[in-house]
Amino acid sequence: MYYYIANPIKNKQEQNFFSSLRQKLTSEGIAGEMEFCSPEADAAKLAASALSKGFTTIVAIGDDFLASRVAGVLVDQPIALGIIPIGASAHLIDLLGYGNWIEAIQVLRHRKLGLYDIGLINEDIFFLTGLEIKADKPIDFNLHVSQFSANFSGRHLLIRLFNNNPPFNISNVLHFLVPKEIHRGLFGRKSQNSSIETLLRAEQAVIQTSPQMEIKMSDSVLASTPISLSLIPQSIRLITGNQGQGQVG
Amino acid sequence: MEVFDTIIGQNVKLQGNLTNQGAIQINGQVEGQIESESTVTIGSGAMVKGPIKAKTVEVTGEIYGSVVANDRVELMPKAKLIGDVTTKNLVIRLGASFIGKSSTINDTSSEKPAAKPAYESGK
Repeated sequence: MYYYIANPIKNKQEQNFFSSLRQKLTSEGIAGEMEFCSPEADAAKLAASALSKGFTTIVAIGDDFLASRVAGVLVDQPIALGIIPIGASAHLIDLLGYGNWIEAIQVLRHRKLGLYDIGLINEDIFFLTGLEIKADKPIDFNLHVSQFSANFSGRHLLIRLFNNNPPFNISNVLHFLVPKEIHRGLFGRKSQNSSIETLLRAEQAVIQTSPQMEIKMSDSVLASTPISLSLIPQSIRLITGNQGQGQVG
Repeated sequence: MEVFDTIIGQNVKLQGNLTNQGAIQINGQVEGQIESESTVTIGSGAMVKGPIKAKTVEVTGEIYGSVVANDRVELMPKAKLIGDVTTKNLVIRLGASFIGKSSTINDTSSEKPAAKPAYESGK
């Protein structure tokens, strides 16, 4: 039985979308209970409620933040997590192997499961895809892991879980990426391609910045530096459209 | 094109040990031990203070420490290596500087002391 969790409906357009979505879910035979987040019951609370009611598939309809909130409740649970990406990052779409709700419904219907890692901030905030620290001007970063300590200045740090997806195709590790800044030359032409300036990997890390910075996911602020990061490997049973992911019973 | 597992950017100062199965590219400063089962590349402007152990080590920057490479160590023009080298193939390009002793690892992985490096000039 499927249980769907979505952000509150904000306007007529969204109301129409959810009406179409319900019809499509019914026609594909995967209709179920649908709840919308509220100040009284956020996504994590709704997921916990679904878990206690015995639902075996919980589907987050929304962005990385909503999906991560739901995923955090399902860590090491024998419950499938589905995601219908609405306003999701490109990274989440890569992770899922599909990019719109029509494709999502087909994938949900087939219910192919893969085991995915989930990241953890300060041992109580979960993230399924990635985080970022972004500043207007260069700031000082310190990344401390068990084997080394790295200091650098920059405007942008990305923290990513790739879960066996491109470009790195590995799991069980956090990736820390500093993208190369694009300098525009004469006539606005790019003088170099955007790529990676720094890439480090670790299973756990502590990040400090000077000055203190916010850590964001999908424009939602999750925490502020300093933060400790870790991951729980292979702990989420995600319904995936990626062919490369192994089938889980 | 080499796909790197770890890249240390130009403005990164890293203290500690870097250990990787895959390739490592250093463009910044590292103080500590570097170990890879693949290639370690020390880029232009990079500086490493510490020992390096890898399959292949390619140097355009500076190393202050010993280098052990099962396959090859190559010092590009302007590279600077102060430390001992143990490898099967040592290539020193014209303009590179190397202060230290070199030893070879032969096919059976036993070491011979003081092998002659293969200079680019062919001498």
